[in-house]
Amino acid sequence: MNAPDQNPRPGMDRDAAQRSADLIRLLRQELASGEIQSVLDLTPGQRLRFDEWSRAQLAALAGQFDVDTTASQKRVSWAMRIASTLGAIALCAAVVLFFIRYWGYLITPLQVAIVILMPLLLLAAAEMAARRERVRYFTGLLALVALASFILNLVVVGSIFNIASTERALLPWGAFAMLLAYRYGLRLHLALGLLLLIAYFAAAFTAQMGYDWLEFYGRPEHFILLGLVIFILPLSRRHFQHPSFPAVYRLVGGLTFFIAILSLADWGAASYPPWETTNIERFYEVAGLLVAATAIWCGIKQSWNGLVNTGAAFFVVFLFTRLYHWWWGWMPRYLFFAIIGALGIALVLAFRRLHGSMTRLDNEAPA
Amino acid sequence: MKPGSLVAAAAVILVANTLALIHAARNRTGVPGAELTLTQRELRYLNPAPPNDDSGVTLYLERTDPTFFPWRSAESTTFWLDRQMLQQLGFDCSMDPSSPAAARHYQRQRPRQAFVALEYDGAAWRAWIENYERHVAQRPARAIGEYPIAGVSTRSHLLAVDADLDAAKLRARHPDRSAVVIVPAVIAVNLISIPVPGPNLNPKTTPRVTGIVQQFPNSIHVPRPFSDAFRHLKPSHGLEAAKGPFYRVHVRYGFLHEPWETGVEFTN
Repeated sequence: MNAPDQNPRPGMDRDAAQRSADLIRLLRQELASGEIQSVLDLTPGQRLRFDEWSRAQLAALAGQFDVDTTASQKRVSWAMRIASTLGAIALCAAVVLFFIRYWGYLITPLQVAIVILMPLLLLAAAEMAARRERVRYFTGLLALVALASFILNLVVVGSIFNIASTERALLPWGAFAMLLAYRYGLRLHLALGLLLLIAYFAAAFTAQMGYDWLEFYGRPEHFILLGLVIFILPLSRRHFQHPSFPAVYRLVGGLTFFIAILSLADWGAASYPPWETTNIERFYEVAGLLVAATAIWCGIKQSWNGLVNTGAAFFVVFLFTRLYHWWWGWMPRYLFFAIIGALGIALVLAFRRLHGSMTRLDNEAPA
Repeated sequence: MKPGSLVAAAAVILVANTLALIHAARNRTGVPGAELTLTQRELRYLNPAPPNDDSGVTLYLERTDPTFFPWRSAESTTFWLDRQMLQQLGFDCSMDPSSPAAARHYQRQRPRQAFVALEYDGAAWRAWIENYERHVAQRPARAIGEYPIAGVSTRSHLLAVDADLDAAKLRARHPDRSAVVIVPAVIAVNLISIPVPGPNLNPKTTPRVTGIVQQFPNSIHVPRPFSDAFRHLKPSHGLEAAKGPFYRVHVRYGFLHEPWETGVEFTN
């Protein structure tokens, strides 16, 4: 047998390293159980070599990527992730409120200098943190505060010089968030950047048409198109360095798309087609159901868990909305809720069948 | 890590700020778009009670809505932002307001961007106050108390008088830069299809289309040293607030129709 490979695979990112560590950890746990031991019937020498190899692999992965090698470590990591996100949000609020509390006492050049320097300094701090830590808790925290400072920066400069409100600020905010996301591999920043860019393109189109840019949410069809574009983007560009990013694109694109359809199903007057409002609402309700079902199918085919969950959630919402419009007006309330309950049970049974067929397919697939 | 994306992120901050500062500088160079002196009636200071988390001082531009006569029926109100003007501003007003499809037609039209001329203490204000006083005189004594007559002395003398998609054309129609300000605004179309409630309610009111100046940039930041005097004011409420403070603010509107303060005088 070859000597244990001490070096994890080159080109592996932290998420892939964590998945690899999880598999090795599970394998170690399973081999420790008496049932697997009796099936494999490993000799003490083989057991020893596997123990040495797996321990070395876990140590190497932990050393290189700072992955969690035990279940307790995973729980602590989640707690750290939540704490750093909440801390970042609180720090953003602290920075904004501190500035607002004292900015009135400063002369204009000093106000402008401070708000420009603040995001630059926080960017530098995030960069320093990124060079020091492998798991980027502090980097993510500082990068989020840098983004909040940049938003504050342009808002304050706009207020100081009484610049008329414009959609143009959304573009640099979105670009900055995207750059931070790609530089430090931050999914939250990617989601924020995509949302800011979606808002910018919808607002810019609205303003270009001669309307008030703040009315950009008034035509949800823009968001259907933009959601689709965001959803498709990762298909055209491979994310070798950030393999977890395509799922964020799909989530943001899918949510944007479905929320836009849902709002049109609820208020058809905001639609472009000059049809009767009721017809538009019915059209989008049915379209929402069909697209949600397609999303579930597509998610299963491609193994995109996020898309399956998003599709399932919106399928249920569209179905219940449709039933509400059909039956709420004339049916006794108890009967309506009884039917909804029965449908809920039917959906659980349907999803269980789907789950069962997927398990069979997975078992039949070659290893 | 390569420094490319780090440099790009810093560049985004610097370029966005540079463009904003160039925009502000462009606005303040050349001949001012308008230069006027407004009072506490037109520029309200909302003096907040402590603890105040915002140390900045902002004045809010207020205007009098020329259609504000609560006791008048809709058809007696004449307003310049009519169907013809709305058509010129890009709204589709081809649908007859009496048509059954009119509600949906006008509801679907979203607010549009345009420029609005705000006249200070001019003919529009004088017409409004004359109209107001005439109606007050005509009202029975018991009814006078029902309407906000006491508020007239604190009412802004600034009224919207005209609108256009082209600021230069609007300025050509209102050349007095010491009395008329051109500001970007958002205008919405409104179908009045039901009679306006009031003593003169006429149930046979015919539906009509009118416009609403929905919003315009109304906050003006007060920089130091002008803000110091405002910050030292004691918070006031109710009648006390109506009595003062009294001040005059010199305001300039620039090339890009954005304002800035050039002086403040307290008069009490």
